[in-house]
Parts: sequence; structure tokens; C-alpha cells
Amino acid sequence: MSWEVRIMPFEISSSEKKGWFSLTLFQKNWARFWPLVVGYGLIQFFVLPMDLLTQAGYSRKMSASQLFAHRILSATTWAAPLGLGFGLLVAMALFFYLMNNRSVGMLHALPIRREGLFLTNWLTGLGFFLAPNAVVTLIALAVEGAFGALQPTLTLRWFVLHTVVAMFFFCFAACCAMFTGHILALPVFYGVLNGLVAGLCMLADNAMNVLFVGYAGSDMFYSPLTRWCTPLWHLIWQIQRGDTVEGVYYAAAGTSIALGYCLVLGAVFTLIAVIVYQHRQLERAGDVVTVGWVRPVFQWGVGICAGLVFGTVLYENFFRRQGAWAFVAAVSLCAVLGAFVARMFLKKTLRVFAEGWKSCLPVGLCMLLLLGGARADFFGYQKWTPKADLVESVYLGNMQISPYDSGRSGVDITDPALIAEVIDIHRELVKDLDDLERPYAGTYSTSPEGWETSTSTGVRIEYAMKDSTYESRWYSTVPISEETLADPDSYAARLQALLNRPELVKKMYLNWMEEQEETVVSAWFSNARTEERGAADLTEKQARELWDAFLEDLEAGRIHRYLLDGRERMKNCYYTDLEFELSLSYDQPTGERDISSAHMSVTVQNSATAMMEVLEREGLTGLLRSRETENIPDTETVYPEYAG
Amino acid sequence: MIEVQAVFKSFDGFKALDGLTMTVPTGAIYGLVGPNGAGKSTILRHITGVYQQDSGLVLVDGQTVYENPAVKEKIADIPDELYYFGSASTRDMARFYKGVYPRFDEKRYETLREVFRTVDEKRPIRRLSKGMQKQAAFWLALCLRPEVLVLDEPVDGLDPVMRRQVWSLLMSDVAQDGTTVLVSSHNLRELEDVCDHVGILSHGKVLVERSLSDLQENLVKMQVVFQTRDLPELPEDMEVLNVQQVGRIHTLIVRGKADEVTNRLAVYSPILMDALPLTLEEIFIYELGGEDYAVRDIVL
Repeated sequence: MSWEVRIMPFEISSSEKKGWFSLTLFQKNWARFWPLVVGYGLIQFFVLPMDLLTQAGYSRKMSASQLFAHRILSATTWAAPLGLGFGLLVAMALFFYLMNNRSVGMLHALPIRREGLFLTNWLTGLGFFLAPNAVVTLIALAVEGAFGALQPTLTLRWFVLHTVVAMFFFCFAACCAMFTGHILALPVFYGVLNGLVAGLCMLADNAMNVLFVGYAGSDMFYSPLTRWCTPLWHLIWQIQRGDTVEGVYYAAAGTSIALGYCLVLGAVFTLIAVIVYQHRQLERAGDVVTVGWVRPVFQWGVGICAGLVFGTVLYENFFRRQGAWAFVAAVSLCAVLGAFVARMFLKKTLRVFAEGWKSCLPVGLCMLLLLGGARADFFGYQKWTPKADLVESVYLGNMQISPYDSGRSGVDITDPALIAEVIDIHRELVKDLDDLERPYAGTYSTSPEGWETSTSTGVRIEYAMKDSTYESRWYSTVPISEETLADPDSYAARLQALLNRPELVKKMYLNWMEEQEETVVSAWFSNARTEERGAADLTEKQARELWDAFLEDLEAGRIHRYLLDGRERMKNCYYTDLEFELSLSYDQPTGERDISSAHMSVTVQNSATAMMEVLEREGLTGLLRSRETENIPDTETVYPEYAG
Repeated sequence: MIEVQAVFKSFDGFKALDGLTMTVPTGAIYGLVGPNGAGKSTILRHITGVYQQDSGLVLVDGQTVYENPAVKEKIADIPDELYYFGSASTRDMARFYKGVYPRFDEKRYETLREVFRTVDEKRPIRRLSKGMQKQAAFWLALCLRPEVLVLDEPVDGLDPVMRRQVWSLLMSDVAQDGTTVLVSSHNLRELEDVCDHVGILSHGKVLVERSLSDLQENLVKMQVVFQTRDLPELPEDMEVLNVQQVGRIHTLIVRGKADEVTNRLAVYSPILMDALPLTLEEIFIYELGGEDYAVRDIVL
């Protein structure tokens, strides 16, 4: 073997050098699509230099430098929405040829490689953003110079950010373009993929809310991962994000993260686009999906999303009363229909029912199994309660507790005995899941005059587990009635008893104060119903005595909480609240003492004997308005009306 | 030379090309004929490097065409459905091709202006009539000085004078530069005048591929009047593709050379016997007759 032959594989032949870039096509792109560049440049001109020109001299509070800095930062936030729109438009213009059989034939018969076509178009896109942004930046700098308020760093950052973000969206749209052969499908894919993760989180959250009794919602939608997967949202958030570091506020603190995000993901999208383009079957021009393995994904994806969206719409508007199983049926049906519609797009015909049922019915069947399984609690979510020894603490909240004063907040429970009691109540609660979903009439009357109250309460239970995880449950309609409250073994009675434990009642009223020292400044009476302030203010001495009496009653467990706004509560509680104005003093982290003010409202209760004693001694009981005389008649006419 | 070896191509399960094999010699004018849906345009798109075959080889001068710019530089094509940039005129496209094809011949562009003088070279091609667009396409394609010219229904839309003019230009290129021309058309009478090689396609395969003279020699139309009114029993090994009888005259389409068939039929002592050459159209019809594509006598 000769030397020349041996080195041949390492040489690049002349044919291999050709076709990686076409200057002629690059120039042609500019000649064809210059209106896009001009349009983009004009908008950018109005976003920055024109804005600086019109705003200069209008602020008396700020210097020209400060004003310009503020305006440039404000103009920087336009990067994401502008990039989103123009990234798509430029990609649609440059890759339109892939969507049409004639243009595909013409462009691909040219002596240019696919990579060459892609690179040429990609560089054209870069030029489309780079050139107008550079011109606008120079004009902006000239304007700043003319007003003697040059901001080169901020202006350059504006230029870099706008160009990189627009290029990122262009790469994203170009990547979408490689997967479709239909020009109208491109903006749809692009739009859907931009918000797919966030949308799926919402749909999944809604579905679980319907399917799972006790589902407490999730923060999936607001999680950083969801934001990262939703480019527009993430970029707007990052670009607008300010931050305070060591007491100094930095505007647009997320700029570098936004740039990194765009550069890395943009490179990934570009790489995917090139690989897909290399393998693209050009005869698929005109098809909604051009890549073979994506076609079933598209069909299933459209089916599932259509099922969840339209199933939810149907359920919310027509079948809500039929319950969660109607939701399961509606979603499954819509999923099948969605899969058929997707198939119509794929096959470019409406006649897909006969040949497509084998691939469309499984979509609905899967949704039926998945959602039906969830509803039937195959996953054990609804009946779940933790083992007491695995729980660090539990929070009880979102309950409709009477009276409606300042002691209605949720409570954190850390005492193991009380945690075990909460778990026991929880276990009792989930024994009959249907009971927690039964549609209630909603009110019952404590008086013939029509004073109606709810016969259910919400309960939110949040477990902080010892392994640092959290589990939450939310029951929006836990039925409460006088009968169940009268039965000491019922969960209603046990929950009420738990909430009336002095240490918990104290927490409900005073937990927010934490380590602060309070001093009563003033107090007055108010109407609990109308919240009108009483005519007579109390003296400082009366206020202090009443506050001390309140704390004494609190410690002694004489302040009660009620789950049902019923007769019991009517008899014990007055229509009169005591309003305390408090001064709170606390130590700052720097060691300095600081003072703040707070307000607290306490409903006067007959059982709060210490408070009642002060009121009687001070001759203030005449100011109290009794609920009993106003609402509860002499005759025993109490109407439990819930449709249990 | 264009070589296509056992090329397969499927679209959504439909076999557009089913092991197609064909060879176009250098400097030949090769006519590709076949019924609708036979795969003519598909194989042309493979030869121009637009489509990638599922399997098989497509070679021009021994090199693969697909993703090979060096080979594509030598090929010019005029597809059935023309495409040019939105508002591009013939002159704009000439400038574009000049940048893309190194062999683009500006002098020829100027020379051909006289031939295609009815084409307004400053007017966007899309706004020209169909015939004018075809003329513009030929004008541009011929300026590329291609070694291989691939034409799909090329003269469709051209008036008879311009057809003759275009074919004359093509044939002079073939004669002077040895350009290889591959042309697909349904106009068999026209192909017969210009082609020296013919390939007949059916169901994604080449049924017959020969020089036109060989093709014409291989089938013969015999007009015979036998002693008896009815057709005598002919030898089993004589491949008779078609028989028609008008009065006592039998017209037989027989595979074989004219003198051989004449000798074999002479055994029956016919009263009258005459061997006639077949037109390309007749060859096309009778060759495809065995492919379930025979012309049927349909009375409506």
C-alpha cells in the first residue's frame, strides 16, 4: 500500500469541503426578508433610543444618568416577549422552504449540504438580530452622549441580552421547524412547547384535585423546574429579578442566569435541529409531523392534553354534580377524540375512524385506567395517614372556626401525644371518603329569622416528616353537625376538643407574636357583626386589666373555639369584640431594640370569667350585646338541614 | 453516467420504488416513460439528490449524489412543478445560480437571451405564464453547463416552436459537450424523436431498458392474411402480445425480430404478410399490457 493511499482517509476531499455554507444564499436571505429586519429594528428603536429621547428631561427627581439607567433597565425587560415573537417569525421565514414540496426540491437540489443550508440560515438569523440591535445600540449611545449621560455598560447589556434572547427563541423555533412540515403547525408547536410543562402542571393539578379526596394542591406549577421548562416565563422572571446583596439592591440580577440559560439551551436546540435535519425525510413536506418516532408521540400527546383540557371543561360545566367518575369518563372520551383528531392531522384526512381505532382507543383506555385507578385509590393516596413516630410536627389550618376574632389562625403541633391525636382524627376522617364529598345543602339555621351558618368546615393537615419531607391534605367539606359534635367519639367532636386545648388556643391567638414583648396601648369595643367601633373607648387601665384577664382565661382554657357556629357558640359568645391596640418590642439581628404596633380582636365569651369579672367591676357589661337574645328564640327551633 | 442500483423507497408503507435499477449512459438522451404513479418523479428526485433512498445506490459518475455537492454541481434539473424565490426574476435567479453553481456560464446567459427573447427577464418568474416559466427554467438550466440534465415533463406548456427550439438546444449540448439528459415525459411521440435510450417504469421498477432501436427491433407488428379466415394455431414459444382482426387481416404484436417472426409465420403460407415497426407509444402500451395496464376496449 502506497503512502498516499494510507493517508487518504485523513484527508478532506474537495467534495467534502464544499457546501457547508453558501454566501449567495445568505445574501439572498437578506434580500428576501429585509422587511423583517427593518420591522424588528424599528420596534427596538422605539424600545430604547426613542424612549430615552422622549423621557429625557421629564423627571425632576432623577438626574439624566439615573433616568437613563432606569429606562435602559426597563427596556431590557422587552427582550423576552420581543424575542419570542421575532424568533418565531424569522425561523418561519428562513425555514419555510422545508414546508413545501416544490421549494424543498429546489433548495435541496442545490450543491449545498443540509448542514450548509442550516448553517447559512442560522447565521442569517443571527445577523437579523445582531445588525438591528447593533444599530439601535449605537443610536442609544449617541442619545445618551448628547444628554451627557452615557451608560455604556447598561446599554451593552441591553444589546447582548436582546440579541442572545432573540437568538435563543430563534433556535427554539428552528428546532420545532425540523419536526414539522407544515408552516401553520410551526407556531402551534412552538407556542405549545413554550408553555407545555406549566400547562401540564395545571392540568395535572386540576385532575388530582377532582380525583383525590384530600388533595391539597401542589406547588408543581410554581416550582423552579416548571419555570425553567417554560422559557418565556423563566426569562421574564430572570430579567426582571432584582436582588439585594449585603444591603445593596441590584436591578436585573438574573441577567447572567438568563444569558447562560439562553446560550446553553439555544446550543442544545440547535444541535437537536441539525441532527433532525440530517435525517429529515424531505418528502414529508406538508406533513404536520415529519419525524417518524414523533408521530405516535404527537398522537398520544394531543390525545392526553385534549382529554385533560376538554374533559375538564365538560366536567366543570355539565357533569360536576355527577362526581369524579364523570370526570374520568369525560377525560377518557375526550382523549380518544383528541387522538382521532391528531390522527386526522397526521394522515391528512378525516377518514381515520375505521383504520385508526387501534391506535386511538388505547389512549382513552390508558386515561381510563390511570384516572380510574387514581379515583379508586389504587395508589393509596386518599386513605393515607402517617405513622405517628415518623412525624416531626403537624399543622392544622384553614378551618372555619368561630368566633371570628384573632384566634382563628392555624396551629403547629409538635407535642407527640397531640400529633398522635391528629393522626387518629385524620384516620377517622378518611374512613368514609364519600362522606367528605357528599354535596351538602350547605347551611343550617340557628334562628327562624334566617341566621344561617355552614354545616361543614375545611381542614388542612400538613405533616412535616422526620425525613424532612412534607405531606399535606386538604378537606374542603368536612361535615359538622350538632349530632356529631355531641358524640365524643366522632372526629368532629374530637377535632373540636383538640382545638380547644388551652395550649393550642393560646397558639391560635398569640403565636404570631413569637418572642415579642407586648404592651397594651388602648382598647375599645366593636360590633362583631358590623365591625363598627363602639362609642366609648376604654381607659388605659381598663385596657391593661382586660388584656391580663384575657391572658389568664387563655391559660385556664376558658376561651373556646367552635367548629359549628351553632347554639353553643351563640350562648357563650357576645356580639361584642374587644379590640386591643398593642405595642410590640423586639430585638433586631443587629442587637438594636425595635418597636412595632399590632391589633388584636377578641370576642367576649361568657366562659372567659376573668374578663367578665373585669367588665362587671368596671361596669362595662351593659355595652355587651348578647347573641342569644338577638338570635336564639325561646322555643327550641334549630334546623339541621344538611342533606346527609 | 447515471447508475441506479436496486433502489427502494417507501412513503408511509407505499412502495414508490421497488428495487429500481437503471443505467443512463454518458451522452445519452434517456426517456423515462411509465404510467401515472410508476415512480418516475420519485427516481428523478433521487437522482437530483433531494430524496434519500431507503436502500440501494444512486450514482452519477460513480459517486453518490445524496449530500454530495461536488456531484450536484454537475446536475441541473427542471422539475415538473417549478419553484423560484418569491419575487425573483429570471435575472435574479441567474445571479443566484451564478453564486451557487461554479460552472454557471454568463456568456451563455447572454447568448440565450436571443432564444428566449419572449421571456421578460426582469419580471418575477411567478408572474410569467406557465410556458414562459418553462422557458425561463430552460434558460437558467442550460446556463449551468450541466453534465447531467434531469427533466421532468420538460416541454409541457411550451408551444410547438419553442419545443423544437428547446430540443434543438439540448441535442446540440449533447453533441458538443456530451451532456447526459434524463427526461421523463408522457409525450411518447416527442420522446421517440429525441431519445436514444428508453426505460419503461411500472410499479417502481424498470420493466424494459434499451436503446430505442433495440426496443423497436424487439417487438414487431405483423399484418397477415392467412389462407383461412381464422387465426391458425401459432407455436407456443411465439410470444404474441396482442391480436386484432379486421376482416381477414390479422394484426399481431409479436416479441422478436422482424425477419425471425416473418420466417416463422411464413410456415403458414399466408396470402399476405407485412412487418411494420412499432411506435414508442405502441411499445409502451404493449410492454405494459403484461403489467395489467393494457388498453381496454371500453364502450360507454
